[in-house]
Amino acid sequence: MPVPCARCSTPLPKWELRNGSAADCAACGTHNTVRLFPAALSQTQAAQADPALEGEAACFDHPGKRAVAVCLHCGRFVCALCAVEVGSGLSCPSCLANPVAAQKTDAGNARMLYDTWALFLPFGLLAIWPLTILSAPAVVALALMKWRAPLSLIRRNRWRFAAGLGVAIVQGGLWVWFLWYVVAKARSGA
Amino acid sequence: MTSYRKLPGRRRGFLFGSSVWLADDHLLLVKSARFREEYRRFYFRDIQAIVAADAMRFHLSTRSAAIGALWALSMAILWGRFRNYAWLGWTALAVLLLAWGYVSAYRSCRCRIYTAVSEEELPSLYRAWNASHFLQTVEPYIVQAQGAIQDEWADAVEDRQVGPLPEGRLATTTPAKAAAVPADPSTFPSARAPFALLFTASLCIGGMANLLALRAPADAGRWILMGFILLQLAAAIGVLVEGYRGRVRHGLRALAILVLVATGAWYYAVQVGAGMALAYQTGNSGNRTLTTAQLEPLNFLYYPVSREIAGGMNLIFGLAAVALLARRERPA
Repeated sequence: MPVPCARCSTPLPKWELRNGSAADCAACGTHNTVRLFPAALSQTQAAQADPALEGEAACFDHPGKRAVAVCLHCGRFVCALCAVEVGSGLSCPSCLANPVAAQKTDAGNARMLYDTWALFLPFGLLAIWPLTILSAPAVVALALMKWRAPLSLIRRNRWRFAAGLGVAIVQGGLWVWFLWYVVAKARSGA
Repeated sequence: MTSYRKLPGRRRGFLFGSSVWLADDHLLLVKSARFREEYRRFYFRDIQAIVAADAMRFHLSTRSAAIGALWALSMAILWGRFRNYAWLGWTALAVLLLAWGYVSAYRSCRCRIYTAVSEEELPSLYRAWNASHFLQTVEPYIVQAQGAIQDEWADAVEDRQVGPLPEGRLATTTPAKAAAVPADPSTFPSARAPFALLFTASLCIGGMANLLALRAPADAGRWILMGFILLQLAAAIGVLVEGYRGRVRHGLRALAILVLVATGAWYYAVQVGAGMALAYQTGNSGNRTLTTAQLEPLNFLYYPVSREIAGGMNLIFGLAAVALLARRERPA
């Protein structure tokens, strides 16, 4: 039986699944709740690209194959093999691998959360507060440079940037005041 | 831009988290590591199956840590002002620990999603009620995209493969009897490797020795504690090394990591506590200067409470290790 146990990956027994959408694994005894969908029963057919006839547009990466679509980002012709569905449009494999293009369509597979860095640095380094003399300008620079960088796919606002920037500006201001005070004191002493 | 709606279940770890989100035509699995997020998309038309298996999940989330911190704060207040009612705090702690243990052991699960080319665990679905709610929410969307499955699907799916075909998994054409052939027991990762036994013994014996030596002279107690801690650390590192070579089971490796982390946390907490106690005693005595002997780094081991905590901790870990040793051997 090819439906695997979610715990040990051993195929679940068919006679158990016949009685409903649950089965106990024969190997580890774990109770499994199974939801199976028609995609499991359909035979997946591999995409096949037709050869391009003379005068027909050909794929950018496969000159012998007929083009069936245009890449949403770079405008290259792509064959059935190369066309990758991304959201409502089509993309070519090279654009999908390009993080800048991929992020425009939310198609990227990973993102660095600069806003979390901007929030963490000024607060986290308070534990080693002398380092805030370095972190404060670094966070201001980070927040300004990456303000327009794509955020998390699932978190849309920039409050972390704003909060981190605010705290870093306060820390930087305190350092400037402190240094000014020390210099002024030294001068008055001299 | 795609808009996402959060689905039931969320794993909130100290470093790693996970959640699943719903879009118009796909599910988005988000795995976060504080400063970085990784995404996996599962289009409704591609999802072959979702399977949730009952499993023990002793996960300490940030939410439970917050509850623990709240308890510690309440306990500090009770202890300071209403010491007669301190039993309320201990009762609350016992109830909380029992509830957490029960939910982790009997109301938890491991959930996986399968497509033709991927098989992915959904870490956010580690509680049974979340998995159930998740399936109820998601199923209509997938059915809308793929249609309802016909009757007799258990027979129909027999000659198909759900999920990808990794090495070691049976191919769809393999006769079902082949699955019944027992694997070679010599290839099983064993819990009874020498380091595993040493690790378990050092935890159990160390725990008992520390508790029995509570009334012994402070010097003797200190050396017993130090000796067993060093032995436990060496054995835990040995278990980890053996684990990476595939000779020790995953459960024992996880326990070894837990012991290392807990020992570090205990050392730090007791050091800080002893430092505070020393400062308090010095302040009360009126003598503001500390002697070199008082400032000795291992001075905190003279406090019986530090040995008591270490002993109790070792005994609990030791019992867990014994339970892992007693478990039936399974293929890796």
